[in-house]
Amino acid sequence: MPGSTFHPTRWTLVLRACGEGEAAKLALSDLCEAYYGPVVAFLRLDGRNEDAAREMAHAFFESVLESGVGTPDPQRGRFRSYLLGALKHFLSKQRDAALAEKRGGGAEHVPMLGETDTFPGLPMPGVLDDTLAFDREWALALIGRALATLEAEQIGREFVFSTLKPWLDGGADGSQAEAARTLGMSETAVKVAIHRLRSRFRELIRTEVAATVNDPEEVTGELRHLIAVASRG
Amino acid sequence: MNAKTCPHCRSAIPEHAPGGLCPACVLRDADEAAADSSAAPSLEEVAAAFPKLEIVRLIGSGGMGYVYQARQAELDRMVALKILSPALRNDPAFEERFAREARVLGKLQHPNIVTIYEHGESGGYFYLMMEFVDGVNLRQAMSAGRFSPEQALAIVPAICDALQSAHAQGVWHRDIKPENILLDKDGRVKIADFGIARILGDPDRNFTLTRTGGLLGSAAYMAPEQYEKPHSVDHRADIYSLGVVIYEMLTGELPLGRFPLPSQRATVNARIDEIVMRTLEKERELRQQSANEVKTDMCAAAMPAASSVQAKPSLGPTILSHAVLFALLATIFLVVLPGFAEVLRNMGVPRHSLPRIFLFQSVGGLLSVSGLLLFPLLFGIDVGLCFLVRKIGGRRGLRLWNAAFIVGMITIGVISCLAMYLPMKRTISMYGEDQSGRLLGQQKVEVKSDFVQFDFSHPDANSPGASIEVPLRTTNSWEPESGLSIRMMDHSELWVRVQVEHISGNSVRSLASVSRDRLTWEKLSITLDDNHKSKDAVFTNGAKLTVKVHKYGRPATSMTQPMTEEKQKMRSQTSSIQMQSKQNVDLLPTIRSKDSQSRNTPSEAMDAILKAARERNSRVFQNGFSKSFSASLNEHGHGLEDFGDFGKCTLISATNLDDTSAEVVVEASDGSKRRFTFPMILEDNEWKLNGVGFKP
Repeated sequence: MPGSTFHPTRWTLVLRACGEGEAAKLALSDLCEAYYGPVVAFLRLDGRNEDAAREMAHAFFESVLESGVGTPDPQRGRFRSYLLGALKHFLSKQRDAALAEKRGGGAEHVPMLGETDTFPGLPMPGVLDDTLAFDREWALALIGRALATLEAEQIGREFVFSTLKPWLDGGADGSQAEAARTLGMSETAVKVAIHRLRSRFRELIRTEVAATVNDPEEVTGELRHLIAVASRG
Repeated sequence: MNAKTCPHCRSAIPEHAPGGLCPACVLRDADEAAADSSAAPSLEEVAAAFPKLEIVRLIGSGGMGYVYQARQAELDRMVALKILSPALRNDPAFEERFAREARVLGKLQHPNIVTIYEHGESGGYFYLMMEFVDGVNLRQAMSAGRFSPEQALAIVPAICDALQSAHAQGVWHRDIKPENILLDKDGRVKIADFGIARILGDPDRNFTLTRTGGLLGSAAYMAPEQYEKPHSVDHRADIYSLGVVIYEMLTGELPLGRFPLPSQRATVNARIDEIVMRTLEKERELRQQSANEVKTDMCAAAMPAASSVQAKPSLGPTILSHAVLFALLATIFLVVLPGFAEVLRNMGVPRHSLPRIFLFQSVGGLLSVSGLLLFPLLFGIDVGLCFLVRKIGGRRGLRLWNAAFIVGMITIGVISCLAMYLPMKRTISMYGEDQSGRLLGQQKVEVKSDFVQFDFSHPDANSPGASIEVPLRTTNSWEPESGLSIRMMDHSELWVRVQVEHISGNSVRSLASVSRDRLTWEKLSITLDDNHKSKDAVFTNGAKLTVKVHKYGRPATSMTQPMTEEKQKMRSQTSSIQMQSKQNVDLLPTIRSKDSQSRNTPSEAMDAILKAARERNSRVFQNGFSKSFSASLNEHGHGLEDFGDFGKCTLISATNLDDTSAEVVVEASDGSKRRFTFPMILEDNEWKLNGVGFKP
């Protein structure tokens, strides 16, 4: 039955943003906020300065929502790949449009790209692959969102949270005894608190990942990919 | 970019990494946690840990662990063995929480709840051993093919029953979703994983939102308050989740954002829309307040032709019984006619006047509806009189007598017919009492209507007071169909109990009464104003009671028929008043559940409990409540901290508040009275107070 496996994922956000009205605007701003980082990073590596990249990112999100890059299809799989594909498609269209404008259009153009040494497809020493950069930023944005959610859940315990935050990745150098003293808690209590924060953080990360894939089975695959990306370099 | 390197994995930490955390480590952490739980223990491992079980196969896995089908050789039965995820052991508070919660869950007994047989730790695994349900879950059933609305709605009552029963024991499911609703081979509904969310959850947050592996699946079914104020979640969160499940069954979609009404996607009527939308209210005060309410509403709404189907039985039997009576009398008449004719002729009545006598008397007798039963008697008397009149007045006298008789009978018949369909008389008595159980007032109101509204004003002028509507049930056969006992609770001050007495002829039948023999009753009599529309009564504590009678003089109708538009309007008005006043107004389930439940109702149960308690009298509370009892209740938040040392007390009364809790009034040795509320349990088809020591 269609719809029975339907989860409120990033796809929902895109589909919702395609409509009109308040809900669509809200979804658009959510979407921009969530994926602004990766898109800008990609655009910068594509050879733009900060401002141009930002401008282009805005134009891109708008075009995504105008379905200029084809209707988003939740069956397509990972949202990350979809968004990157859409971005590349958008850029090539932009390039075409820019060229057409400059030359008056109408004529058939033979692309000369691919022959030059500045072609983005050729990895250059010392410069990150743009897809890798996109994915890396994607991972950071994802962690950022999970962290923000975690922080938002800790209402009334902000100080405890900010003190214990460094242990979230399992590897803070500081001593837990010191944190316990700062917080006026026992060391066991600090351990328990860290454990709880970490397990909740893990859940949130997986939730975030799950929101970007179509099939829950793919969560692990996507997560592994992001780990690989984050560990490189 | 490579400003920092992670001390653990040596990968670069970007400057703008959130929280300065190593992204690789964070992600790996999340992956490992999942990997831990994704490696299900092999059958051999499990078999080694549970020597008494034959492990058959792994039947499921999720964020909470793995479920194996196993055979318990000793008892020769299949069981489902749920092994909780080893990762949970890392949580230092888990063990204690597990023991505590599993004990409560083990007590849940209901045909629609998967029974937990055993729990504990074996071979390093925390486990729950439970009933094995041979079938599919609702998710699988839905994937196999979309449900017809009838199929979907047929499942709902069973789910409601299960929820109601668990709620009565103070257990909220917290994670109602299609995956947890099992359908066995015979189509029976069983709800699994009751309260498991609490076992797994961080007690600080009270539950886990989205467990690893559970992903967002659960989130869509969660009530808004489960995110927003998880500490104050109550049974109404389950009602919301149930609403999502119903919505999904009907439409195949989840109610996200601005979602269409079920009737826009499925062939269901507007009343189903109303019920489903009410379960999905963001404010839980606006939802149905109990699972039973959802069930009752559903059952009523699921019958499209309910008005004709249900209204008839009350009318039908009457017409039928009249017809039978007529037929019976006609038969008797025909059988005895020749004999009577012979007798009359022997007495000297002329043969040619016999047909007239029979005709006049029988028509007159039959016209008198109320005289139906008296007919043979009247007939006999009449025949005797005829004979006398003939003797005294001759033929002419007899003719006159016959004419007078028939006119009289027709008059009586018409009057009886009118009286038959006039509204019945009823007496409503009302008692008000304060929180300590002291009776504040009592009043009798004579009304003729099927609908009465009571408004209670509050001593505190700022409080709007509560309002209650009382539908009165009556049938044409003059027999009460169900007890009418309505109680109303005003949290702060006034308790009012309404007793409805049924007047038929000269006899007064008490349909429901509340015995408070140990309390002092302070009488306050009230007479209605001239047009019997309303009356105020002021109680000794300043509480004011206004009785308003709506629909006065309306012909009596059966309350079995579903709500008319008018009543629905009234109902919504009432519920809005309830909302404003934030007060619980509960009609006893005797009214609601009569149609749908055959088991004993809470009020009947309470009578039984009270009776049993009286028989044992003071023995019941002689030793006070044991520490363990008090403690176990405290764990579930029933606030009895100050009860444990209360000492010797005598039971004064036990009354159910609704079908989930009961109130007990006890008197201590120093004469002071106390009132406590206990959850009620449905056990062996009988309601019992949870844990109250009705054992000596």
